[in-house]
Amino acid sequence: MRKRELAIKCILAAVIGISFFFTSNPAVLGKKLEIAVMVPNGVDPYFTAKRYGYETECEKLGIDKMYFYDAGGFANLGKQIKQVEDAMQKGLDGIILGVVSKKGSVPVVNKVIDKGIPLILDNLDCDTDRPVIRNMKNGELVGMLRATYIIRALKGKGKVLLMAGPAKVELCQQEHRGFVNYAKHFPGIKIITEWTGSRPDVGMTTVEGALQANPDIKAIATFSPPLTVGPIQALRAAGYKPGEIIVVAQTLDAGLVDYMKKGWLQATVMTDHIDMARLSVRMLLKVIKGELKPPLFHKMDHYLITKGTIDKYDTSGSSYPEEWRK
Amino acid sequence: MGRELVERVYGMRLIKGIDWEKYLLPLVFVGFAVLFAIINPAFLSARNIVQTTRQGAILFFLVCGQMLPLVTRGIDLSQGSVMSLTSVSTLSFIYVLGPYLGSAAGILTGTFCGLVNGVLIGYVGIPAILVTLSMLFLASGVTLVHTGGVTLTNLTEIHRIKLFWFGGEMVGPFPVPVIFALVIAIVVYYVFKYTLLGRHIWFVGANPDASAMGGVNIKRTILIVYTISAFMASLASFFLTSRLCMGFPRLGEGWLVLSIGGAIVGGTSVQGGKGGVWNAILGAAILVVLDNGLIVSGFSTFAREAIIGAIIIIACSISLLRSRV
Repeated sequence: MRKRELAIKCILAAVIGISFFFTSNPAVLGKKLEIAVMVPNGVDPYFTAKRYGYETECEKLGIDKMYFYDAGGFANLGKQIKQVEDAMQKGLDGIILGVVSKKGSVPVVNKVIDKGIPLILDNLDCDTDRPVIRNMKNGELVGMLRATYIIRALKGKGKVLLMAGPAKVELCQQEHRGFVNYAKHFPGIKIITEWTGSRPDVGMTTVEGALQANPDIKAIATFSPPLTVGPIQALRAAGYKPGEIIVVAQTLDAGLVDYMKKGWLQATVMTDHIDMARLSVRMLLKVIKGELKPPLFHKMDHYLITKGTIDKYDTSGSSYPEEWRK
Repeated sequence: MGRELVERVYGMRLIKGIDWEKYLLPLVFVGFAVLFAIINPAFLSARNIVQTTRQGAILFFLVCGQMLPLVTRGIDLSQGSVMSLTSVSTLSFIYVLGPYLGSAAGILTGTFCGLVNGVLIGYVGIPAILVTLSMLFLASGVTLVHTGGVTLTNLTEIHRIKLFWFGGEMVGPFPVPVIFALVIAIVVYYVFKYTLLGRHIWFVGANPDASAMGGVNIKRTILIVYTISAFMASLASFFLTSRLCMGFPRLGEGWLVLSIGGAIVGGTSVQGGKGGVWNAILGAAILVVLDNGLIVSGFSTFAREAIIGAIIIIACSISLLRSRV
C-alpha cells in the first residue's frame, strides 16, 4: 500500500513537473513562436539593414513568424502606439521595439510590460521606469570615435562641419553630444553643426553652401551612407581632390566602400546594427524561455575603420548581402 | 465706402496696381542677392553662382511643372513621389539597359504617373487633389516595394561617368542642367505664346465653362498638363539622381512644398488662369537664392526652413488677396 502510494505520488510529481516544463517553454511544446519587431522608420537604410538581421536570426533560431511593423517616420507616434496595441491583441510571444519617441512611447511600453509580454527595447531608448531589457547603440561612442579620428588628423586644429542627421532623433543628439563633448577639449577645433536630415541632395546643397561660407573647413563628419554621398559629390563638384577635406561617416554600404577605396572617405564608424538586431532576437528568445529577466542595459560596441583596415574588418554586422532585397 | 476703406487699410489697391511679375518680383530677387552678398561676399563667387544655378535648374523643372496644373485650377501633389520613383527606376533600368536608354526609361516611368493622373482627372473627372494625393502614396509605395527602402548604388565606373555628366558636368560656363532648363523654358514659352495648347491651358484655368463652350478640349488639355507636370518632376529627379549617382527611394521628400511654393512665389495664381514660364523662373530663382544665401550667411537649418516657409506663406497670402480685389 505504501509503495503504491509512493509510486502514485512520484508519477503525479513527474506529470506536474513535465507540464510546468512544457508550459514555460512554448517552443518545446510545438506552439508556434511568434514575435513582433517594430522600427520607427523602416525605409531608412539603417533599419532596412536591421530587418535583415532580425529576419535571419529568427530563421536561425526557429521563430515561426516575425511580424515587422514600420511606423513610417519619427513623427508617427500615434501610428506606432496603434501598432504596439495591435501586436498586444495578437497575443504574440514577444516584442522587439525601436521607439519613435523616448517620452511619448512610455505609456504604451508600460502597458506591454505590465501585461507581462516579453519586451526588448532595441536601438532607441524609452523613459519607462519599469524594469526592461535594453539593447542600445552607443551614440556617444559613435560621435566620439568620429571626433577622435578627425581631431587627430587635423592635429587638434581646424574647422569641422558636423552633419548631425535629423534633429528630432535622440540617437543623433547622442552622437552630436559625443562628438562635441570630446572636441571641446581641443580649443583649436571649431565645429559647425548642421541638422540635415538624411537625404543626400540636402547633404549636397548644405555642403556646397557651407564651403562657400567657410572655405577653411578641413573635415566633414556625416551621419549615414546616403547623407555621406551628397557631401562627397559636392566636394568633387567644387574641385577638391580626394583626401583634401577629411570625411568621416557612420556605417558602410557598397557605395561608401567604393568612395573609401578611392580616397574620398577616410574613415567610418561601424555600428554593427545588423549584429545588434540579431542580439535583440536572441535576448527576446531568452526572455520568452525564462532564461533572462529584466532589467538589463546592454550597449553595443562600435569600431572605427579606415581604408587600411576595411578589408580586414568583418562587415557582415553592418551590411547585408546584395541579393537580399525586400 | 467700406470696400474702399478696406482697400486703403490693406493697401490692396497698391497690391493690385503693381505689375508684380514685371517689377516687384525681380526686385525681390535682386534684393535678396544684394543682401546676401553684403552679408558674405562669397555668395557672389563664381563657384557659388554655378552651384546656385545648378540647384535652380532642378527647382525650375519642378516649379514649371507645378505651374501648369495650378494655371488650370488644379494641383499636382504627386511630384515628390514621382521624383523618388524616377530616381530608383533610372538606376534599375541603367543596370539593364545602360546609362542612356536606362535614363530615358526612368524618366518615362515617372511621366507615366502623370499620364495616369491626367486620365483620372481629365476624363474620369476625379478632383485633382484626390488623384494626385493618391498617386503620391501609390508612387511612393511602388518605390519602396521595388527597393525595400534600399538605396541603389553599384553602377559600373563607365555608367557612373556617363550618368554624372548630366547632373554634374559643365558645357562651357554652364552646368548641364541649366542648359536643359533653358531649352525647356524656351519650349514652354513658345507653347504658351504661340500655340493653341498654351492658350487652352490659360482658358481652362480662367473659365472652364466658357472654355468648354468655346470648343476647348478640356479633357485633353488636362491630360497633357498633368503628363507634363510629371515629366518635369521626372527631369528634376533625373538630374539630381545623375549628380548623386544613386537611386534614393526618398529623393522627392521635401520638394513638393518648394515646387508649390516656388510657383506661387513666382506669381502663378492659385485661383487659376495666370502663370507662365517667367513666373516659374522667378519663383525658382527667388527660392534658390534665398536658400543658398541663408546657408552661405550661416543660418541654421531650422532658421532656413522657418524663413522659407514664411516667404511662401506671405506669397500665398498676397496671391489670394490680389485675386480677390
